[in-house]
Amino acid sequence: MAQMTLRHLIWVKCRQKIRAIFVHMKKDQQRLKFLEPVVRRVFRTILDAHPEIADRLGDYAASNIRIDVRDAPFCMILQPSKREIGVYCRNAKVKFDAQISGSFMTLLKLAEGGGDGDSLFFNRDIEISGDTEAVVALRNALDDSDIDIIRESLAAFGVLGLPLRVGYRVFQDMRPIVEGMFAP
Amino acid sequence: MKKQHRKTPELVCPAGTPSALRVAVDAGADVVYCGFRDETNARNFPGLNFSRKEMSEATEYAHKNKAHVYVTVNTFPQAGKTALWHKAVDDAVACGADALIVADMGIASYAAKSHPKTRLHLSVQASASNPDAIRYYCETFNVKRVVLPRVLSIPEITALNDDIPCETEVFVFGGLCVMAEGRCLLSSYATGKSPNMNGVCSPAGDVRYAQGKDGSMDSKLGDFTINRFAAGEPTGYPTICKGRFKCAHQKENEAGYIFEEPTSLDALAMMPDLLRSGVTAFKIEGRQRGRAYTEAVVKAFRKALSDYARGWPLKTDALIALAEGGQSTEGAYKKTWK
Repeated sequence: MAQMTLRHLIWVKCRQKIRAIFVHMKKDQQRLKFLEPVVRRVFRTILDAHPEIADRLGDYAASNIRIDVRDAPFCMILQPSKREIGVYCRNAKVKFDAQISGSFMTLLKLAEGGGDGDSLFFNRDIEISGDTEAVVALRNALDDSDIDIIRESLAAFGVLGLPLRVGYRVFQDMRPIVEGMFAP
Repeated sequence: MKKQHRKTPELVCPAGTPSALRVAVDAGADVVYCGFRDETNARNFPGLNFSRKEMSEATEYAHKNKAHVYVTVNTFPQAGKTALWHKAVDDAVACGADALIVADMGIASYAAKSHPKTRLHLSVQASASNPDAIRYYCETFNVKRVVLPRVLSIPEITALNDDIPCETEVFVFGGLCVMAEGRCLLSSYATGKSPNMNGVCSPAGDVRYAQGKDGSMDSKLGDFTINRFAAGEPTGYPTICKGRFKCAHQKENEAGYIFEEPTSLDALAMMPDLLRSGVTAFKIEGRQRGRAYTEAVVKAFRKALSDYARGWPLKTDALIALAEGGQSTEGAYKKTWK
């Protein structure tokens, strides 16, 4: 038997994971459970760091809000009052109370307050459906929160995320300089 | 006696959240206006507005940065329910508000008697647009400033300013109503709630959007479909005044805007004329908008004021991306209708 290299071993493990995804997709409404521990950790870290989000959401925190990432193969269902988040294939039929749909970068901008929700809506960059009140409450709660999704996502992983946090900090510091170099 | 006109107007900017207030102050607002998280103000939207603690902290932040805070208590109390509005007035003063913006005469009377040292401004919701009405508010409640309804042309504002004993504040950017501010009941017909009584026009709980397979989008208010946007067509707020309707003689595909089109006011180009008309303050609409909007609009107007003071040309197309329906208008300031 040929000796198994480290690279081969990693590939075998990845293949197992990919197979597992498809097994889950059939069994559990195409739910991407393997992603959920990571995404849930980030979600809870952000909720803990920004208690004002739950305060502003009020009763709407109990809503199931679907975040539909148009240019990604998945969507998420947020349940803020339960501190839960589900990750599904985008075509999975999952019940929700309200939905906001947009590209990954648009939704990121909206979540971080870098884009005005009304303008994005006027320009059709985002679409909303279902309980409009819940979407408006979430938009306003996020807009007040000064969230930096990437920085806080990396912070959710403590020491493991440290090298990435340092890299991200350098990237943020360098960004204005690089953008300035290419500005018209 | 003729009033002394200000050389530089006060820039009065909106904030729906503490974060937006900080952004507005940092971007160059002279004043930020905001309201409490209840029916006492005309932007009573879910997740928006300030708790008492937030209002105190926000006022402290603004004052530290040499900006003022005006608190809106500008809805009309329902019979037998004035306590909530009186408390809002008392709490706003306790939080350090530099002025109260009120619409209802009863609330104006309460504020004038209970807090005579606090400046009173008359909200646009009071719809006071003639000298007699404005003088009455000034003489009876010691109102120091009136926010003018968006129905007046610049010559009319100039004439008004020469005939009233108080300051005037005019809108220069943001959403437009059907020029019946404080008196519009369209939202009530469809939902039972109005900006006048409940602080919310087309409440989000009554709004639904339906996406069509062809990329179109229907907006519904209560039981009514009020607009249908084609794929890629810029949208507007889901208000009846900006709905598309067909009259009896029209065919289905001939539905059009009867009251007004989805569009935003943008009077940046008219700033020099407005300054000459004698207004004291320029107001930006949009407490329901995000802090990105607040920052962009405040910066644009601060820059425009600075450029104007230096005699430089004004850059007038900077804010179109933020406009409702992707288009703007100078509204009644440049009246082209009778």
